[in-house]
Amino acid sequence: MTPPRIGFRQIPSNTTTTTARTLHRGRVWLLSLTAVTLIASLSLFYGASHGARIMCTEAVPAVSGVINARQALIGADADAITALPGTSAPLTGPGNDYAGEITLATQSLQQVAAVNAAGTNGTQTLQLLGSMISTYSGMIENATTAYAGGNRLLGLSEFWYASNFLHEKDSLLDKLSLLDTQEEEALGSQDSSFWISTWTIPLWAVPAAALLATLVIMQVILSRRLRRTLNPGLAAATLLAVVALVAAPILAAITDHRLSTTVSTLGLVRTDAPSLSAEADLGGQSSFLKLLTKACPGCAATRNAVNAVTIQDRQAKSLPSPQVAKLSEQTDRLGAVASVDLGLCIGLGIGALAVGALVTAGLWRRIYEYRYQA
Amino acid sequence: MRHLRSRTTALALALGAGLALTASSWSGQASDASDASGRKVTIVGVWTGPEETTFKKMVLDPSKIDYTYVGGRNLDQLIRSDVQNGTPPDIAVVASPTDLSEFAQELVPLSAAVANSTALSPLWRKLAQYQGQQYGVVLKADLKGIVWYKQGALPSALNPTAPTWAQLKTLTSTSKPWCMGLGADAGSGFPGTDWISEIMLRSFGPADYSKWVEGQLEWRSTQVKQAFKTWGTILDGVRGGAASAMLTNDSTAGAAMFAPKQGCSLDSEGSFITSDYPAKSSYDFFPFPGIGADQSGPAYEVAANFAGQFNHGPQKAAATRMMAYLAGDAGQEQWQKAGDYSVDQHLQATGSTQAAKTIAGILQDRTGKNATLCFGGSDLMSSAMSAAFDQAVLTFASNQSTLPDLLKQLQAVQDSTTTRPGAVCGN
Repeated sequence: MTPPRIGFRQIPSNTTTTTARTLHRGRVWLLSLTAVTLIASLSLFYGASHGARIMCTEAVPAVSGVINARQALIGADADAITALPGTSAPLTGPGNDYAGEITLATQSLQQVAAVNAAGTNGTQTLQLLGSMISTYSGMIENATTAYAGGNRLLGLSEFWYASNFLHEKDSLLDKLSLLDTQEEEALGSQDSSFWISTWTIPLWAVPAAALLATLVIMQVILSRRLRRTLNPGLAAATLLAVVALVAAPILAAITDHRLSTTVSTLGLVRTDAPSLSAEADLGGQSSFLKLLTKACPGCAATRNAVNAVTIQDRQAKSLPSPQVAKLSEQTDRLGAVASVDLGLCIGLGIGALAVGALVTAGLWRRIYEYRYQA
Repeated sequence: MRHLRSRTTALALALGAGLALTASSWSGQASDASDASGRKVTIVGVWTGPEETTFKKMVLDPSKIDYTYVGGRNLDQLIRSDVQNGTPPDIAVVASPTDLSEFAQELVPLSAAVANSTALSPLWRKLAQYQGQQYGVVLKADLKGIVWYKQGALPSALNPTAPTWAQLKTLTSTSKPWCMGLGADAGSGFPGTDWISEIMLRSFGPADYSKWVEGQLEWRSTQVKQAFKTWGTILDGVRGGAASAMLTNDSTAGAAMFAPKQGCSLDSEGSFITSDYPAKSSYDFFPFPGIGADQSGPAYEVAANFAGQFNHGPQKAAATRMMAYLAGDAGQEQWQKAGDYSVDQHLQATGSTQAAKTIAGILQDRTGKNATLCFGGSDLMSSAMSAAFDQAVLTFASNQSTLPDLLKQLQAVQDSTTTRPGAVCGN
């Protein structure tokens, strides 16, 4: 910026006074610290709100999708076996309830696919699951056709193969759990806790404190050396900086708190999810057990295997009911706080520009006045 | 109303396809550094659970090639839809050469060096060839057509060195000795098809067996009809009868041999079954005896897993390196260390037990008896034929009077298929 020339003698720049140099350096420090503090605050808030957004738009839908798919598949299995003894005509198929559950399971996985965070691994598992659901569906239809056609032993056996395909180790439900783990791991790496952890506080607090301290020091210098009671520009800049620098961390802290609450509820929902389908599965497996005992009294190994599933179901039934409604409410609240991030970023940017402008304006006349005085 | 079921299937398939499309391609998403650099090889395979862990830790990890692996039990459908979508995996591990030959147009032809051809006997080379071109490699092999028993508990009615069919037949009718489980999730029925294949081979020899597998011997022929009926008598020799066989899993049926109160004493299964036996149990085997008058010499039914490389994207070079490693001596040695069987003749025929050493020797053609190896019948049939065969044995087991109708239906499926295996028997 070129100083006004009218009425003043042109002085070479190397003759600038000590006071002017102090003021000049102060201005440079203030502007630099304003910029650094702005960047640190934006990073802080962006980090926190990014985690919140990921949680709302990816983690919760992914986990919900897996839970819903699991519930629907177990429901389909139970519907199919419950309908089996009453199936008298080969034309009715496994029933509308069953078909609805299969559709729901596939749609739920499509929901997971849309927010898949686990990259190639998640994609592979999703594709495998899509294929497995088709296979399972075909097996159930074979079972129903055979049973209704009068070949009860074949129908019952085919149902058991299908149900095994769903329940057995490393089968369909286990692949769903694998998908859940893959998504959880991928999303866990995006947790925002880094931005609010104790040791990252200095990353934004130090430049902020330095800015405030420099503003105060400059006021003191102006007051003592230049006998000015209060520089309005610097005072306004100080006020703005205090407001902006306090608002960003508070909002980030609120975001982080809501995020950790949601993460915690999500973990509980995931753990307790088996209780949602335990009742239906227990009903289905118990129905199958009755038919099995009648058809094959000597099939002890198979009965033991089915009994093992019912024991797991009873254990799952005793789990607390998953806090799905609470999760939904917390996700909404988290989404609300995360959605203000753009406005805050713009506000922080404008605030920083205003601080810079006020500092420049506040010091401008003093630097100019004292450029030749010791 | 038949349409109702068809509609449900169509709906599931359509939704599945939609899911596959939504989920993008095997390598379409670059979520991590390795994917972004295009160096991670995507592998799908038939192994899950402990087998998957072994494959990854013992075989894939030592390759030092970045990979992702997903294991599943119904890969045919998955690979088919991915190929149709233009997004196949880099490498697919399948349970039969037919599963590969159906995708031959999509597979990368392999050089003799990559396939480690000099280490393989002619049969193993030919199995993974299509129109004279190598398109797959053998990963590990198994011996079928053998009868396992608890060591020291061979039924006294059997000759301890070489039981005969006559002895087995008598034992079957008097004491119901057979362990049998036809359940195997989506592959249920395959243990029954193995039985029929074994009976065909032992009754009529490799020549008729080959004709049957190649579709030149009709399903309604006397030989096939007799094979089913012979298996029917075996089914009657299962404690609990057909219902027990149908409602028991293939992998758990043999465990009854080792129970304090033996539920059965003979288990006709491939060499892979021993991994399902209770830990620390002792067992031995004898080859299934000849049934008919065929005098063509020793013949064994075998099985193997194959890998094929799809011509796919920037990972092609890394995938070829992985294929060369898997088929090569280093990769094959890792299989042996994991307790599986290799057909690589550059390696010693090793095994942790005498039974395992004998099996390894047969698979590597080191017995000196010029034995004929015949690949499992249903594993060489087209996927449609194989699925129909699985279904037919289940239906037959549940009601043996359906046989004429079943054979007629099987022939109809055969008539509509054009798949022919590259090889069936040889050495």
